[in-house]
Amino acid sequence: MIGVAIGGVWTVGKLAVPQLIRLAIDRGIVGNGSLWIWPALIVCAGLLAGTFTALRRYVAFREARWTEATLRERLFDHIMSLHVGYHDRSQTGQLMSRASSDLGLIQLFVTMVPITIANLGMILSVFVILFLTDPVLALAAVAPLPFIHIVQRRFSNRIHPVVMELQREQGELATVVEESVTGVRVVKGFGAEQVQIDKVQQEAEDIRRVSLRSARIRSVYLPAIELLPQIGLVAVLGLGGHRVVSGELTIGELVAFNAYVALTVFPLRMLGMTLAWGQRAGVALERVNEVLTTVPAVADPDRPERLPARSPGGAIRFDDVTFGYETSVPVLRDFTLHIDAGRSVALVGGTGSGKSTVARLLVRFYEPDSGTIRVDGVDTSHLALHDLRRAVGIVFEDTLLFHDTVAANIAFACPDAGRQQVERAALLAGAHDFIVELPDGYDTMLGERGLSLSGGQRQRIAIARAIIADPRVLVLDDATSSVDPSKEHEIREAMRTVMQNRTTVVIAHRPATIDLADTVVLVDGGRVAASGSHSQLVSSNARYREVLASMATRDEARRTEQHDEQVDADGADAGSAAPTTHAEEVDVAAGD
Amino acid sequence: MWTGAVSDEDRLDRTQTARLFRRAAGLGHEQRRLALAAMGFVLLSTLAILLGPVFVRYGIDRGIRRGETRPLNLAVIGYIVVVICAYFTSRQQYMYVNRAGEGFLRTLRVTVFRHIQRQSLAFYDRTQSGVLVSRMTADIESMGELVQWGLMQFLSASLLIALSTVLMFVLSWQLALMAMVVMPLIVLATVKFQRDSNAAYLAVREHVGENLSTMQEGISGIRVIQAYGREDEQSRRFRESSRSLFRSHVHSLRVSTWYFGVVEFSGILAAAITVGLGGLLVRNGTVSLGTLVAMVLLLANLFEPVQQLSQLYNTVQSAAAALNKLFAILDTDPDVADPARPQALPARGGVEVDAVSFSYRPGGRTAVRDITLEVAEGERVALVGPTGAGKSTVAKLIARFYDPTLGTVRFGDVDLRHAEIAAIRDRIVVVPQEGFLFGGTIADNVRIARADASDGEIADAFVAIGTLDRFEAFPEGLDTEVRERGSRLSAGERQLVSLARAALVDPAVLVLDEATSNLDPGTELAVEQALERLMAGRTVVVVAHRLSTVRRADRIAVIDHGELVELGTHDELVTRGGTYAGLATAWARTHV
Repeated sequence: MIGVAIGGVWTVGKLAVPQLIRLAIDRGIVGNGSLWIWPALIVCAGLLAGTFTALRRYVAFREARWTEATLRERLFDHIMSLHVGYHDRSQTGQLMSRASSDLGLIQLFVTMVPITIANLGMILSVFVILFLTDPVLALAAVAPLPFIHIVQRRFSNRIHPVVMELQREQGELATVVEESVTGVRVVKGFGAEQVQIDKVQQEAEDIRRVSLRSARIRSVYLPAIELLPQIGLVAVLGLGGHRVVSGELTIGELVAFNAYVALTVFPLRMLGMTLAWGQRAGVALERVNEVLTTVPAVADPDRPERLPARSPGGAIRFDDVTFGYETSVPVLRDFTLHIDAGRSVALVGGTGSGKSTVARLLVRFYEPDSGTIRVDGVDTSHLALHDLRRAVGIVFEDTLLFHDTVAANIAFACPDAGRQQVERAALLAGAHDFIVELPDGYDTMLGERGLSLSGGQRQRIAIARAIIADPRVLVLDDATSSVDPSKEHEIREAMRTVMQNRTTVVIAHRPATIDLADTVVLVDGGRVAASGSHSQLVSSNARYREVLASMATRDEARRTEQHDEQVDADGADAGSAAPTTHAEEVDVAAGD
Repeated sequence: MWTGAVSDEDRLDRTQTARLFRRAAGLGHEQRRLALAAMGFVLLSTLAILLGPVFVRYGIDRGIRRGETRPLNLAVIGYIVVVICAYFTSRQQYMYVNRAGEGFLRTLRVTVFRHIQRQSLAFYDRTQSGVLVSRMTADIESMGELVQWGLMQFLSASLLIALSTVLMFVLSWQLALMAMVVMPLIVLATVKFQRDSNAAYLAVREHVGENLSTMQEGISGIRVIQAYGREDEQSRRFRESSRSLFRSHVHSLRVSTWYFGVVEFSGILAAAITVGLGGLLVRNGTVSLGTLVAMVLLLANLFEPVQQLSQLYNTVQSAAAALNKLFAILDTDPDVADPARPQALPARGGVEVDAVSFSYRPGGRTAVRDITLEVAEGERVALVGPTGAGKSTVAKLIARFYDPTLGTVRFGDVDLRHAEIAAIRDRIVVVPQEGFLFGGTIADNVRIARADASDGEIADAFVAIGTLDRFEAFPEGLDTEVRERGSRLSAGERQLVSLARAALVDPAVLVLDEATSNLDPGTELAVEQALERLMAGRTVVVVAHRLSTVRRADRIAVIDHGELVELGTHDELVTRGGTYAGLATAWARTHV
């Protein structure tokens, strides 16, 4: 509201100037009164206007930026609390767009609010002054305004579809370019460069055509919007001139009149723009609100229970659990699995069998549609999320490390962990040796997605991260798949070490990894199909052999794809390695 | 779309900027006539705007002051005529500016794209696809902003300032001189504002980049964050980043808002001086009242353009940055190019890889080392070996996607580097692992291989691989739209289209990168049969992943760690009991 007050003072300052000019002309110049007082007063008014215009802009923009910042923080907080199912459905890009461009639109509009109020105040005050001075002339001055408004409206209506079409054409160009870049091997392979160039030429021509249409429309309306006020001015000068000649008006009054009319031109134009911005801001606000009003589907229970003391702890029970990412397609059907404390189980299954889903249900990323999941006898939906997730450590298939030091990444779950604790976790995970070789050792900064390390190194840090809080249950989800086969055994050693004294669920398909576990469970069609040791299953279960074979082939394919993209295996920044991993992340939600 | 942090490319000094624009002007050569016409109309519009105050002066001095209405009416009519003329010249100005601008942009788009297309695969390996799309879209569009709005605003603003000043001096040099007192103040303020606000703007952009990247990390890493219960920590970190962004915004505001106050004050100060000192001059008869009023109106003309010019600064900066990146592309020479005097290639022949070594990055890891392999005409050779061993690299070298670092690749005894690339593409075709399709019809996609192929020839290509019926069964037959990336077809059908392309070219040599993913059984058979038909009677080099493919080869080359370790028939190699023998046994065991 300070903004409004400042705007008020500014308005007064600006409104004073034409009056002072009038007085200067009538009394000072034409009449023969004192001339100096008027310029002096004008300068004072100018100082007032100048200072307060700066102030009001400052206040308005600052307010808007503050609103933007707080809204963005609220949005982020809320996004953090939303369940994984929501994140599966929404793309990172979309959420980012809410947070950046949508909030930007809202911010623009909020900036305009106090300024618009001041402008409105100005316009109204001017109208009042004009009508008080000379109603007839005032009418003449005001007459063009409705026309300007009509012209503006017609302009927006006509330009909007063309703007949309232009955006479409630009999108088409982007698609063609993207296609030729992604399909470059095909293009090069068949020497089809000219074909692509012709396509782009066509799209570029389309863009030119539509742009010119837009320009044509703008050329008709925009100069009109600029010049109509001039006609108003001329009418005022003409009519006003006659009234001065006939003595009904003084010259000073005429000049002041013109100055006032001139004052309204810019605010009126701003008003039109503000309305348009308001519309877009309204739409943006709706979209942001959509996110803010989404209720997290997975939340803490009202009165959380606690896990019993650990001795040794970590017994897992899945009882008749049924779950589907989409309610019509169950991934797990009456899934029942009991794992005693301290034992390790390997889950083996093909794509879509439900094995990774087991891991995600265990940490309550999703809620089962029916059935219960218990850890040490306590239903996981009765536990506080924080407690559950501290008790169950999970190493994902796709390692995500943050832009932070190695130590901070390992201590992610326990930010207060001391260096000793961090190093102990790293030792167990077999990561300590290579970490101390890094340029800054534990204080080395890792890049986004921890790209500067090899797959095996990242995975070992992830393992260290998972065990630092000494969880009673450890889940290793396909932890070796992104690792070079020659380095795999190193990870396996680390896995073997950290698996001790913990209930472990290993989701794997390579025989050597499967062997790490005490028991192997074959998951097929959302159920436990068979269980036993690896060698038992290989010799007795055909489906087991089939699953292992098809997973091996998939491995080969994925490895080749990754290799093609990561052309220089020296570990130099393989910028394009990211797309594969992101695709995998999205894939993972499709049910595994 | 958000952009990342500010890079060095964005900070350009004045000489660099000037050089960039001169080069860009060179590209706009075609549009020079349109540009000249546009400038002509800008001149006319400006003159029209300036005539207004002249008529006002006449109307006041000859009309109002003398109490005569005729001159007043003349002045009004004159003014209205001028406004109408200004409307029409403005319209023309818009049209010519846009026609010139859009023409320039179209040229830019096609030129840059043509250059991108000419690049060899090595360029695409080291450049992210997102970057190339961004060059063709966002960067060119920011040029567009400058070209369409910026340049003309610059021109009209500069003209307006210059001509207004001239006119002011013509009307009354004494008044003009006095009013000019304010100009240095404005100019100094503008220069300081530009410098400070630009620095602040860059700081803001850096903070924005950092803030968005923190947000992106949080959103894309949500599973890890929730798995370790670190939501609060991430929120706290985000809040910190958000607040520091807010602070940099506020700093930027502090640096810039005073400027608007100064401008507003200066305008009013100039009016005060004019009224005060000018009033004196009117009183002693040196200057007429009409002139005084005209001067006040002209002064108003001066201040808005100055502000417009300063706002232009940012547009210029971003356009310069964009131009810099675009020229970087235009200045890259393709790695693999046609020789000055190409040798003719025979129609048929064998392939000879002669002591070839190659690294993807000069000085980087050697991908293949000293490989010598002769494939006789009509022979089928399978390349096998572990992932990353170099098999695909050899295949790409045979097709001259890259030139070897050492050694020679020959077709029919001709060094591929001495042949025209188009000729090579006619003789040697690469069929990649997965069929990549472009948007368009099935026929369009096959036509990529030979742009001048008739519909009959395309149908023949499908006949050659035995799948015409399958594709004619589609609703519009071969003219069916396949949609983006060929999503309308199954993976197997896409492979078949890919094979049809090869059939259309009817090459002497076929280089196959075997698909490793499993297709649905129905299509699997069709693809296998199509492959057999395609390979019949041709020289074939196949990067093999299946035992069945390898067994059908005449000879097998085992490539490991970039070297050719074994070469011979299946039986020979199995007897030798080396790497291949081991591979064959492993395959037999796991592959059904």
